[in-house]
Amino acid sequence: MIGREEELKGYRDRAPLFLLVVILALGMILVRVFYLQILRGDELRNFSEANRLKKERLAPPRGILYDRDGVVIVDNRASFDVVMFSQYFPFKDQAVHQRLANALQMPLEALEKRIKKAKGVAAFHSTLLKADVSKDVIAAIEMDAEGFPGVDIEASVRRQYPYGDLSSQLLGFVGEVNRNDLEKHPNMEQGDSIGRRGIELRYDRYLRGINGVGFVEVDARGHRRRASQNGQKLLGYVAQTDPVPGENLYLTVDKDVELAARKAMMDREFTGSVVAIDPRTGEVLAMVNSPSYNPDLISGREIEPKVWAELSQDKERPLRNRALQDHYPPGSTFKLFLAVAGLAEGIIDKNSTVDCKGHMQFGRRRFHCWKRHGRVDFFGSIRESCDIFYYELGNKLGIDRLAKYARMFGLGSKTGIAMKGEVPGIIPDTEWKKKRFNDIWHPGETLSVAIGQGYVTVNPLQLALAFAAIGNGGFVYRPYIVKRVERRDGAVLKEFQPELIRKIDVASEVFERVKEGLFQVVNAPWGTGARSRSDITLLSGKTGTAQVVRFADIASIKCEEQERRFRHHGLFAGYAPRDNPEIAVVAVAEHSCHGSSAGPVVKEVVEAYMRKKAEQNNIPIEELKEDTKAKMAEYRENHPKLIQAARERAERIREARRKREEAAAAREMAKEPLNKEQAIRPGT
Amino acid sequence: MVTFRNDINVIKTFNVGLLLTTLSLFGLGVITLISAAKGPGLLGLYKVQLLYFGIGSVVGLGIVFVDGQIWEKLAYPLYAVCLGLLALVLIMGDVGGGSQRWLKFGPFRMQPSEFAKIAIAFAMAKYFSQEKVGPPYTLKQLIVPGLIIAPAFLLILLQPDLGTAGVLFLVAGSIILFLKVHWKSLLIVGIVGIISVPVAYKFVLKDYQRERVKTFINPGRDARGKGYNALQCKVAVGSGKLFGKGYLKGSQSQLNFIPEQHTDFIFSVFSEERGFVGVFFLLSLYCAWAFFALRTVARARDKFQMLLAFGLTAILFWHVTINLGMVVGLMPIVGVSLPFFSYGGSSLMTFVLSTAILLNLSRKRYIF
Repeated sequence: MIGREEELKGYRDRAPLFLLVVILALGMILVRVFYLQILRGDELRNFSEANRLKKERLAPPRGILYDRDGVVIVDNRASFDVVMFSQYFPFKDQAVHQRLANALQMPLEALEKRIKKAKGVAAFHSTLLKADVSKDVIAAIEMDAEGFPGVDIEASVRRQYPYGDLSSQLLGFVGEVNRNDLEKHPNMEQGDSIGRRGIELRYDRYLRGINGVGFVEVDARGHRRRASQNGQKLLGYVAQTDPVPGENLYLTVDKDVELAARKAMMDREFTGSVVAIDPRTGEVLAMVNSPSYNPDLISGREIEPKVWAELSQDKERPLRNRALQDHYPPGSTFKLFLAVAGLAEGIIDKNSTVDCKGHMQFGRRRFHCWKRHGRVDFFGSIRESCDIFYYELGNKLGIDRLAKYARMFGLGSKTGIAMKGEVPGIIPDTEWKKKRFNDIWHPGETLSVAIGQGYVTVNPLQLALAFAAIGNGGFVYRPYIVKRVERRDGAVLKEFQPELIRKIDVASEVFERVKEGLFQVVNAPWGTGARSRSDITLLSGKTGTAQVVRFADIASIKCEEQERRFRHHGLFAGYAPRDNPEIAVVAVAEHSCHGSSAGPVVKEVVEAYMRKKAEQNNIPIEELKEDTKAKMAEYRENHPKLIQAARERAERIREARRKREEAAAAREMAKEPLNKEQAIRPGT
Repeated sequence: MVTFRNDINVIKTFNVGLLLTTLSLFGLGVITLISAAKGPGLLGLYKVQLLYFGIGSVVGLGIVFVDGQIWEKLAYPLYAVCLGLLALVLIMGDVGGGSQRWLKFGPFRMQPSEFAKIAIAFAMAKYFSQEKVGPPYTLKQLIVPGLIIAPAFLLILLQPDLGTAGVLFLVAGSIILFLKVHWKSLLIVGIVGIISVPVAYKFVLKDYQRERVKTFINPGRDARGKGYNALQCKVAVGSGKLFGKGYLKGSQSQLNFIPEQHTDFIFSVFSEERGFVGVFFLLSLYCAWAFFALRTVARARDKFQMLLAFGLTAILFWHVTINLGMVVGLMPIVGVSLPFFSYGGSSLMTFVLSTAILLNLSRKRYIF
């Protein structure tokens, strides 16, 4: 061991030697620091204090949204924000705060709140005082720059909406990235904007663009300066990489069709949703919800908390894209899918009839029809929406077969449109009931489903697609909203094509019969959609009334006399023209009581489409009218029985009314007149 | 294995100087980190750093009072575990910044390559304490230790993390130099090294690394892009002048001129805010740390403990020298952290544990 200790001793003496190495190495560094801090200190301090080249992010303009004809529906504009730098700002000087509040045209309390927030922010980081200020405010701040130490104006890019609240729920809005976003997207930086809803959210990665890098000279107070000689000397030159603008989206929507939809809803003060699609491709032509909101209020660097609270807490839910995020009972529009199922399965044919007494007994329950139709044939059952016909058909089909056909049309599952938050709706069957309620299916429930009530719900977009599939003979498409993505220079990056989800395997005669029924709804005497008849095109469609609560027990009370939130929704689903339809539209008018009230909305949307198409092809409207008139005349000629029956029926009714009036007159003569109180009491 | 024999000796022989310099360095480091990490998304990082220091201290306390004999037994097993972790990193590691360096354990991320430095010190100390031939070593005799460090070196190179692999090489090299190498062998290594520089530059380095070297040679060459960091860093250091701009008042750092200013470039923040006086003080502290650490080397009980202590000292030395050399512009940019200053759990832990082992080794001197 002694030998080892000797060996060790030799090493022990080396330790001081290595301390010398450490001192030498760190000494070299100290010399270098001396050179930088003492010998060149003044020069470098000068550079850092007086002329600083600040590396800055240059925000790219977001991609522009165009409608299908290339009309701009969302673009960008420059906006100026007033910001402050905490290290220069006089936090305690109330007089400055008051003057600043005046200059910014905002209440002192609101400003104080912002100022308070800035206290925690690190020096040299800007804090927003007011976003998107007017020229007056900019002038007021700039004129008195010395009076507002640390206050500066920053330019940014803001979204602009030429059509205001048109289709806001579909387009969405943007906001400034927050901590969560930054964690999710490592490439993004503080101050970037990101899509928050709708297309802005879903297609954010195209729209976003790439930040550029700029070198801005700022002086000791954080104010911008122009590039000076000094800066260039030290850094060689000042340059930047330009931001890459976001990519532009060409949408499938037609702003004129959308405008017509918005007008139709607003004229009638309806809340609800209108969806229009092209049955040949699945392109969404319009998606308009009512009420809407002005995205300009919330799309930007800041959202006024009050504005946001109002919008998000509004009972009418203006932020919601009802067209996909809400589901409604389809009401009588659902009968069409039973009609297809019945014909395809051979349970009924076009000559099947039912005797409608206004109600029918099933088990222990009595099921009502909305009217006493008498003898109704297949076409009449659609035309006049006879519930009894479909109670019986539904019962014969059974819920599982019925559900199978409804699902073929895409109901009960998401349409697959590239949008967030779509609800699938519900097409119930025995399996569903078992899963959901752990209960067996009762045959009586099938009857409710048969007329689109009970458990069944659909979203408006699904219904539009399903009706498109009836109109086009069984082709179910995946709906889409973006036609193509283009770079600023016009290069096409991506083109979206129609995508056929399935061809419904049902004989073409079946569709022909159902389509004939739909045509009669609008265009034949006694059709429930007669109010929606158009004189420039042949519109086919179906009314539906969706019960919010069942009135069965209080049948004597009329819908219009209910509290608004209990009233029925009115639905109308249709397409035009009758042969080879080019547009399918669904309108949901919430709490409007009747399907027939939503019909005229659909008619106006369809007419807007036809008008625009005629205009683009240089065809005068008169020609459309004449063409439509000729086709109607031809139809009447080809269906003499239908016309004859209608005439006779009208005659019978006139006769009956005359008799009733005569009888009443006779009673009147014999009796004392009713007193006023009795006359207005309902139900007597 | 905690032993409390000879309580008086514990106090008498405890390397108080090393403990105090370590605490001073870390204290200064955290204060600087608060200033460096004020940018968006970084606020409050110092709390994480404190948490890691707390965890490290608890583990370190255990290490200090462990029987110093066990290190020699643990040397190779520790190295084997480390190799296992390095291999695991390549298989299932977290990717960040273009390389695969981290292992995830729930909320914690660990960088095994940091601990590899300690493991290498262990393995080298063990090998040379048992080796029979003795110095001065010739190249032929260094083949075996070369083979021992090769797997760790290559695994880290594969991540890729050239900086850490370099430190690993330097630490092993320092231990060998400490023992003495035959002058002919040293000459050969020197010549081969000089020849291999251009070869490595051409074939081993990645593009971004070549850019760093180019920028180092000619800083004005690309002032807005790759040279930007180096230049702004120089401005930051230089503008500190004699007394600095004051705490939290460094405009270069507060304005985010300097990237990674809370990790590898934290010295620029310190020197901007504290000036030459502060830098002098900080370098003196590092010197003091080395002094107390080398005292442990000088007083080691046996060859293994001596070499281990020296290896641990060498890790800190190379980190400080390379990091500062890079920040002040004496060296191209290499990702090596500044001990006790740079933000990062694994790096901080490496130095806390190294210090704890050194404290343990110093304690054991008079205990037989």
